[in-house]
Amino acid sequence: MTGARSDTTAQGDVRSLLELRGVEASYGPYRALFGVTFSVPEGSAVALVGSNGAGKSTVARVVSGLVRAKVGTIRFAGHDVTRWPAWRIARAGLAHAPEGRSVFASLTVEENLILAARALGGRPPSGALDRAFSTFGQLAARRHQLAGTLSGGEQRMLSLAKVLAVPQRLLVVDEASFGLSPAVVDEVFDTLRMIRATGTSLLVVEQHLDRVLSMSDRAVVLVRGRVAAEGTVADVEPAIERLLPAHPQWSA
Amino acid sequence: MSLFLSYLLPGIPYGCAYALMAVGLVLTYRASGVFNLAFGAQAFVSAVIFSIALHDGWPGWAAFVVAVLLASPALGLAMERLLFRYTRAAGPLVKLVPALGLLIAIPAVTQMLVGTATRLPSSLVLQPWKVYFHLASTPVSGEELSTTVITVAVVAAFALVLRSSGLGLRMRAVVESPRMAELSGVRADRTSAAAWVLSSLLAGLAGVLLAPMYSTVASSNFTALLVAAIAAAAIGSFASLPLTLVGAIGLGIAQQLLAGYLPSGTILSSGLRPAFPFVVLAIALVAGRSLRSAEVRDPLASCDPPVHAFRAPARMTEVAVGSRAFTTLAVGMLVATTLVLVPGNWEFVFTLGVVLSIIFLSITLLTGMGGQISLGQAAFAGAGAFTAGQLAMHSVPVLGAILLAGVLAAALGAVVALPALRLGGIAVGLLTLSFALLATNVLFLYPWAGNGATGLTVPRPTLGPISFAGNGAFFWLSLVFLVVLAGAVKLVQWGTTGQELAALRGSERGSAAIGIDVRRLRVVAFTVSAAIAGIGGALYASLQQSVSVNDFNYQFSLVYVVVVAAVGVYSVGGAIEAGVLYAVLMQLTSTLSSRFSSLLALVFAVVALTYVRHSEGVVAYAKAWVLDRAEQLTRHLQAPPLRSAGAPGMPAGSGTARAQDGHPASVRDRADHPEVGAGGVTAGRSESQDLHATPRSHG
Amino acid sequence: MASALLQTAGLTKRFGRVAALSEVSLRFGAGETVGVIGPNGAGKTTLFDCILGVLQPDAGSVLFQGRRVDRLPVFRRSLLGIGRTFQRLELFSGMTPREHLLVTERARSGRGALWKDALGLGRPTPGEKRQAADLLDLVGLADVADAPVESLSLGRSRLVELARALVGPPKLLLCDEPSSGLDDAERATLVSVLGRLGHERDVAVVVVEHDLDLVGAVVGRLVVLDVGRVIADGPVEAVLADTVVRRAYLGVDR
Repeated sequence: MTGARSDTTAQGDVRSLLELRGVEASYGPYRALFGVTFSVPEGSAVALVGSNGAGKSTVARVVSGLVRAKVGTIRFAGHDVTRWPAWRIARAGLAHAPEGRSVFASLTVEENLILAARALGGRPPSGALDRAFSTFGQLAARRHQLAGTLSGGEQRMLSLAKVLAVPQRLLVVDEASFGLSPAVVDEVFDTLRMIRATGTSLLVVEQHLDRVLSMSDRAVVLVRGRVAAEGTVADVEPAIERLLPAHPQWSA
Repeated sequence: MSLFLSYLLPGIPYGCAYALMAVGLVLTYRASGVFNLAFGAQAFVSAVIFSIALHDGWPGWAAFVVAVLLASPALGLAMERLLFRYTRAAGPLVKLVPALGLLIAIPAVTQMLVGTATRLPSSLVLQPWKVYFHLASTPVSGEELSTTVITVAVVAAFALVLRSSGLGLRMRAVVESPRMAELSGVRADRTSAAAWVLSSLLAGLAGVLLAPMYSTVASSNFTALLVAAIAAAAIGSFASLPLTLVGAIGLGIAQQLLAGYLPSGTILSSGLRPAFPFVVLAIALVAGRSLRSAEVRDPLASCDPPVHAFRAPARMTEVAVGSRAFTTLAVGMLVATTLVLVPGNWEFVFTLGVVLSIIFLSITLLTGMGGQISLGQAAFAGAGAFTAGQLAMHSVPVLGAILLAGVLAAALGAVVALPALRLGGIAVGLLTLSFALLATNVLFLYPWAGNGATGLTVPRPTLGPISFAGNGAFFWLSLVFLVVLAGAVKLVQWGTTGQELAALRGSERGSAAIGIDVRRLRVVAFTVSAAIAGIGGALYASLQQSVSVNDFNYQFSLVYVVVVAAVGVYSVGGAIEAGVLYAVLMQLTSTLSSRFSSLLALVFAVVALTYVRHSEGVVAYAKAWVLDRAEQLTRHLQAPPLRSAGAPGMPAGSGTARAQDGHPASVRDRADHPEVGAGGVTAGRSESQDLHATPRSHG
Repeated sequence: MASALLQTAGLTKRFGRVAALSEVSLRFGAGETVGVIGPNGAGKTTLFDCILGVLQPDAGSVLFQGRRVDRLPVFRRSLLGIGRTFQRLELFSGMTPREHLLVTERARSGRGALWKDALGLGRPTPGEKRQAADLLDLVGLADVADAPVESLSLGRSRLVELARALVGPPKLLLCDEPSSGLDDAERATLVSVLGRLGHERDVAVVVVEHDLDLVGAVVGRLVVLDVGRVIADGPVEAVLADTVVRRAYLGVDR
């Protein structure tokens, strides 16, 4: 843990909350990222888009410390977090809601929240749970139920509720719409907007392009493990068009 | 009624000790995936320290603090930090072998440190044998009283911690998914270390509480405690603590009731009591939810790089030829010296080595090739030995009896394999262990089987006019058996069955998808392996000329696995090296004082600890290292300017300098240089590094 | 389509309270090439798992060549002629691509036996070796045929799975995201192999794929799954023009 000593406050680009420079990563022999560079400005919402297998989930995992970057640096909130373990990055204020099941199935709804609140914020602030439960009425009703018995949409809400309970600086959401019906997806995106309104920056991995682009200031287009375009949503429009299939029906 | 109570009450303290250890087993298993059989050894160590301290006049509380609160948790912490935290992503064998090694090594070390002098166990709070009061005219001793009260208090405190403390919450989260727990800011490694410390504390406590119930502090009693605890954990499906607790106490009581009500003096009454937990274990494993389904799958498991199977690297022709020549020479010299030079007792030792090699070959086939763990190979060997003995008594020619012994052992293997089909990994090992314990405690005691401690006599065989009565002749005979069986195993390895087993080891799903009947294949592997073990056991019996149940004690099954895994489980050569090494070391250590009698087991157990890093086996690793050097040297000698720059057909990476992590270059290459594999093929595509995907994302 | 090669009726699979498949009824004809698309989590892989028997559906039936197969174990269905590639690779680590194909030929032909092995008759025959070499050439893996699969790139690993699934050949081939991780050359190989299967070998191909260009080049019919339901099924052109599909799959109204 060499990074442990370099706890000095922000140097360099103060406006960037998260900054990746030349990040490469692999799973065993399979390389997934090839020099990914982009940044998330403080207070912004950034969409991370790309076709399947482009490396979007890997970016999310590298950022949160689940997968180690082999080359390159990752800076978060002024710290070089490249070699930090996941728990330390989490405590620094970076929340990651992984794709698929992202709650502890064997803990109750309330325990899921308490766990996050205690580990991230020391003693749970008295208002933390109330804040989460007042926002998510349906979770309050199921507060003593095991999280594994929740529906897919409720589980997704619970994973977001953790962020509301203890406000974070950056929320990385991987495939917010994974396996959810359109109505529930709408709810999830409303929640994301609300979380952003509380001052949390967002990095959203998503394949529903319109939904994610409409709520983002900026977008990063990932193609085969490399950044094909980065900028405001308008800037990257051409690159996104190229993601859409070149079928005459689609580009019409 | 009072008779019933007088049988029932003494069972409760046993059940309590089982419960303590079972809770610890479940906790570590859930928190780290390791089924820590070494808890049995930790319990023993705590009991020894406690009794020595009291013997030396320490006050009871001080002895308790050192033995239970310090020694056992420190041991557990050391195991977690130094060994088991590196096995999280590894397969069941890598998790099991070090634990088995410790189970054997720790009592051996303890014995060396404190000697073999019998030590009377000491009680904790109350006078152990003093009767404090009567319950329905059944006397209740201090031992029973204190054990029960302490267990109830400790388990209750434990449940409270798990249910409502922050640590308990973190532990339950880490049990489900360490990765997700880290995302919530939980230090997963510390939490799982805490689980090890707490579980070890329970194991130590169980040891100290159980000690007064036996007349001496002997490690075997604590192994029995361990198996009873495993059975209790199986009742709770290795997940539910309340069920585990109920199961443990029920086991303790049932054992005492059985002992009381079964007609005394029979094998059933003397044998079933110690064997009972194994019967329960087998039933619980087969009837209960399988271990696999009890595991909630970690949704973030795909973050770990895939686990690679071991594959022997291909060698340069020159080196391969040289290596083969060296092996042939070594074997030839061994055979020649055995027959010509060495004194009689060494002739016997080498013959023993050959016979053990045959038994170890059964582990190569089942575990190395088939990927299944058996902790009961000694029982199959024993079944073979006693079959041969019984048949010989009924004047069947000994050679025929040896072959029939293989047939009977095969049948037994098939019977054991059938219930094992539903189970994966470690559960198969536990099931076979329970079979081995049943065999040594009950089955082998009957006159029609092993005839108990008296045993059977098995003559040396004859074939027409040829007699194998002399040690030299018998050596030849064993060698023929070994060559035929080892050759057959090699042929099987290269043939359909071996390749299908290799496929199954790589991916069960993939195997089924190409049309392999996975269940049938598993049964075949078990059956053939048991047959080989049975033939080996029969030869062993004929070599020794008299065998008893003590030759095939279940503990040998554990030692066998550790020995073969430590030397090299993936190759036929490994089994032979293990057999000869084991026999030679056994002979060398037999001359040492009794204090060091466990040195042999210790050597292998310590070697097994390296298993976490070198799962191919230490000898196999050393061989690879030497051959790597040889390849380097060869390449250096062969006019480097012309050929060294990646000559076609040469493994481009394997000649490079040794990696920093200490692996031989050929092993390292597989991981670090995609496309340039140990198969010796140089890929001609530099752009092949450009992959574009998250290989294990879901969708 | 009087008798479909494969027919599912009312296939339903739940994980807890999450329905991964609801009432999926589909027919695939012999030699037909069909693409299955849908957003992540729509149930595509679960559909394959239920067809092959990796998962037991909660309700519904699977008919293969007119015969109920939903109670058969995976290996029996495989021997009937269903081949499959996996999205999460299920390769035999430690073995080479050639060994993958040789062991598959043995398993499919059922010619292997323990006694043959023990007598040294278990080694691959020249015919089997030739077939394996042909398949390796077909998918462009000849140059790495004898390297352990762990050393291969993801794209080439997927091609090993494809070649393995083609041994036999099967009557129905299920491909789960075969193009993810492939480079352009490998992708071209994949397109040509998949395209020829239906025409030349009468193999029905069902391919789950996100790369719509690839799907368009290979298949004639497209099935769209969303939240475990079939929301469209028909010719590629018509399905892609469907606004419901466009919204569900890409989340665009364009």
